[in-house]
Amino acid sequence: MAESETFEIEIDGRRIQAKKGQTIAAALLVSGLRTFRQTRKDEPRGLFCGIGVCFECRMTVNGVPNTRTCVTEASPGCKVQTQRERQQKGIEP
Amino acid sequence: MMDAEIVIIGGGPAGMAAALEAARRGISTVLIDENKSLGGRVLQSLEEPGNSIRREWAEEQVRKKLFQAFDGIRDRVRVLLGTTVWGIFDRTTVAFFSEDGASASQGRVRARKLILNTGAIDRVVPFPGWTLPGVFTAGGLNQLVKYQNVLPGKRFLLAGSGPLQLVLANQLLQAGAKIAGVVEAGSYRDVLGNIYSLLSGGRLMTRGMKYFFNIRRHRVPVYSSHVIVEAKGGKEVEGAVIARVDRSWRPIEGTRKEISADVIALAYGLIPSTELARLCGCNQRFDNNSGYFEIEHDQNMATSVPGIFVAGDGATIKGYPAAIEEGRIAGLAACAQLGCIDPKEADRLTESSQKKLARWKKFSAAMNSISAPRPGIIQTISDETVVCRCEEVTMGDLRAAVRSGATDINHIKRKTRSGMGYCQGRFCGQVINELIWGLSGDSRPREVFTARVPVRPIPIEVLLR
Repeated sequence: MAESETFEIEIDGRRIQAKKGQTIAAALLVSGLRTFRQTRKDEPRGLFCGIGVCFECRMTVNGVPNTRTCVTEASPGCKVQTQRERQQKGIEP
Repeated sequence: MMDAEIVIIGGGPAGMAAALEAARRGISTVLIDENKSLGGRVLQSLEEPGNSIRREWAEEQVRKKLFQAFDGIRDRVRVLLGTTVWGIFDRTTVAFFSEDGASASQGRVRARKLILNTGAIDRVVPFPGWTLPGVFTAGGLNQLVKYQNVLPGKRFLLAGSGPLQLVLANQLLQAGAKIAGVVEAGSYRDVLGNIYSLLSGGRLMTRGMKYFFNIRRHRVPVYSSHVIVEAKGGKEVEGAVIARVDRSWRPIEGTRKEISADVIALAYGLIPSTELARLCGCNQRFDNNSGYFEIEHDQNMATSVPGIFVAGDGATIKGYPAAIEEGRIAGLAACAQLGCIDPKEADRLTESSQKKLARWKKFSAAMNSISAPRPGIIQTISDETVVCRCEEVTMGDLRAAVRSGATDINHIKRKTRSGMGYCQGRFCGQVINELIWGLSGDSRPREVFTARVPVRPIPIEVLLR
């Protein structure tokens, strides 16, 4: 079978491989990353429902916060950032 | 604003089958789906090159037939993919939006008839540690393995009840995963007790048996009458604790056992996604056998609201073969209401579908009863367990709310914020209605969060436009 097209995406400044048609979540999991987000109580979360319902896998993608990585396809050069919501909500300075 | 005679929400097997009937009769039809491809969770295309999962032969045949037929009418249906419905107004006007990176577009379509095929979500039973990265729903892991060719760990533990576990375990084995165990809350006696209904499933039952023997052949440990009571790990899953249960699925003291695993999949069956039907005011009822709310419908799939139909797993969980028949029936019934086909002719055309459905119903009722969580496992959820993942509300918070006077599910929501987060109560709501029902000593009916617009989180720019 034909090798699918591969390219790089960026996660918190680090480069990882992704494939055409792959979701961002899948590319991250393949790279060994499973924690996608820290909650307001600073608890780690990762992909859970995998079908866009629970929003646990939300990350900042190309500057857009709360993007569901389980239903968003990776594209060449896209920049993905982990959300640390405790700081973002201003609960702690 | 667009206008259409029939608007179909959900482009899985039920929605595609309904669209076929409408388009063949020249009726203006709009088909909307959140996903970027048709076919739903089960029948969407397996296009990933080098994918290790092969579709079952029978499933592939059904898929081919449905997609070939659909290709024949595709240019006569307005198909909106990657499009999320966020509200239905006056039971006729469907509001939707789609996102592409930073930009969002939106629109509305007014329908004379609505067919809702909104599919299912995974049923969950919370336990300490279930929020750790590495815990997935069975449906979520299935999507990763089947469509993304990804194994997100090294040692997989499956925990839950019913047939989904067998399906997932077999996909994992096919993909070369190491399975640490299948933890099944039910007992072999539960399966034997339903054996006559299960045999009515024919081919599906045979496949289930094949799956079971395959698991045995790979020497995967099966822990029947056990449930998962804890996921271990500091920052990610490192293991699980399971325990033997009694007939009510209450864990028995002194039977805890640790299992090493870095992925845990939860499979307590599926429940219908009913928020759009509820939003339209369609009557629903709690089905004690399957343990979930379903939308009431007659044998033509018409709901209590004139002009609105339901089909597929969004009505009751029966799987894709039944969904196709229900979609077909709903499509024909909607055509009949529009006067494009004689009702008697519609009845004649759906006769064979009705016959097939009767058989699927019996089979799925048995399947659903095997996977429905029993009261003991809900009652024994510990106070420190997070129930609402979005707002981080624990079982203790919920019990405290009840002690301080919360009397119904929406009251609990206002007191604790449970159900107000991103998933909009679709996971925690399953547990909270059981909690209130249990605390009331079965003296009041079960409840569900009120469905409100927007039924999905939407960018504010969509509302402002």
